[in-house]
Amino acid sequence: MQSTLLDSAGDEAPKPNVHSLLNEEATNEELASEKREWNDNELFIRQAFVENPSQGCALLFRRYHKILCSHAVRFVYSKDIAEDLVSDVFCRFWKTKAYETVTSSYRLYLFRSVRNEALNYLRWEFKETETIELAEYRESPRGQQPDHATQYEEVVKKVEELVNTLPPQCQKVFLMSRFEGKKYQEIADEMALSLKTVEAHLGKALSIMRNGLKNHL
Amino acid sequence: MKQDISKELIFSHFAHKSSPLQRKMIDEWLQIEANEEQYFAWLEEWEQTHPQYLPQSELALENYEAFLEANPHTHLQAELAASEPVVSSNRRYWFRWLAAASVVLVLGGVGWLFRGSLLYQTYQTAFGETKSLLLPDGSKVTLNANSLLRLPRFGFGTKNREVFLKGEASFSVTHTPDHQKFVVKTNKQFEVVVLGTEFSVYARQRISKVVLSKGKVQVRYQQGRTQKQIVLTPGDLVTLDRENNMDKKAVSHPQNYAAWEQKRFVFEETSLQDVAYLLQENYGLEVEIKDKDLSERVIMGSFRAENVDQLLQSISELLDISVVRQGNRVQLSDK
Repeated sequence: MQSTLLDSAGDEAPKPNVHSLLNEEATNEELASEKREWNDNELFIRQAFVENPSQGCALLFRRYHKILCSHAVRFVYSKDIAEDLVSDVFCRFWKTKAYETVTSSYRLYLFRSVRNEALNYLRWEFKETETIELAEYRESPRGQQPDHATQYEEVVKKVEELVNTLPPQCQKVFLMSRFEGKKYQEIADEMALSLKTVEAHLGKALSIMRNGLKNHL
Repeated sequence: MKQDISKELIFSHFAHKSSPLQRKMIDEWLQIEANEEQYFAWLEEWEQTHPQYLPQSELALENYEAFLEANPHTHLQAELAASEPVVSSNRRYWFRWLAAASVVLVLGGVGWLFRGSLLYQTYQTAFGETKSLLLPDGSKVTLNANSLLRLPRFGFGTKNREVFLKGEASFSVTHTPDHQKFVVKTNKQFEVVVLGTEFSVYARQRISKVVLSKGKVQVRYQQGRTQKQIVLTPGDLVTLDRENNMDKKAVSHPQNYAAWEQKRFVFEETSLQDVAYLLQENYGLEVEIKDKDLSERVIMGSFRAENVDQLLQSISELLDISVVRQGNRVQLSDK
């Protein structure tokens, strides 16, 4: 039973490694030297996809949703946007049947897609020069946009620096509005500020973000 | 395989403590796919130990499972996807392209090479420029500054009447005998559906607005993951903020929202901050207001201005403030 499942899981399926199956996370370190170690972690999910793709998707979601959101929020600094981006990636994963064609680990595929989506989103929001054509076609998730993978970390670093440099009051308003998704009025009430002041803080924060990110997107 | 890049190095890179030379080394190491797998395995571990926040995955999972159930895979999927009304969301266009591409592939197989400029006619205005257009179906559109309108070259008026707008435009839509809908799509997760009417759409980064002067339109918008809609009657102004929170109110002079068509500016208790946004969006000026009180002062009245300098002049006289323009930078301060 198990061996037939493994055969049909595709070329990339690793040889069954009972030891690693039993200790998924714990053996990470010691298996690091094995080239295909990464697949073992996902073996159960891979098997689920063979039997019932929608179950496989749900398992993937369960496993990666939290960390993907946490990763995406480093780019976009908004819970709602981060969760929307991640949900979109999972929905597309199902719609396009990407699980049938993906040759890497699901983890790599999902992280890469979410990073691309997050970067696209930032460009769309903060880069004035983007043409409508670009705004309309979204990148294929397989496409490695920046020349170097570490550029994503550069963008995250820049975003974090910019948010850090906002004046305290401005930063507080920015995080309440953007990260927590609070309405202007709620922020004004909570911080005992006028609506105009809240707007001014946000305007300032966004213009700092826009200027700061200009050369990084 | 020998590990030439340590986990410690990658973790310090995730913590933004890597040097440019280290990043170069990591990039070279990442050229090998197995290393990339390792990179993301470590990224997963890093995120698990350094979470930015704790997402509510349970509700999201329920939504996702509902989505899976609502979208079963069938043989007719490609055709269904093509005819399915797609939510006008910036991030969802990808789907549409996929759907469009799959249909084209069925029809001819080469069509997708020529998408873009061949399939669509694009009209664009520069900062400070407005443009009047007559669409093939007889509808009139006036594009405000720094805006863009796209419509299909083929089939517009016969197959559908859908246009894509980024920026601000005023529409006068003709009514067709077969009651064909006219749809204005935007990348701001909302669209306007009309039969025959006059209205203005404003879809810019900061905020989106729809003002109806005549007839009846429907605004469909996306809030979170649910699609909502609202029907406007003449005089209604609907605004959507960045999070697509909807606010509807009645305005007494809806035509004022299209005053820019006649190069007129109508301010009704408009704060100087809002005027600054207008200068930025329509003329590409970077406006700096010297102090906070000043930015909260309001302007009332209507006046004509042929160009941005006349507008700045009027503002300066109206509020008795000093306006200094240097290239694209404008400074507003008390005298």
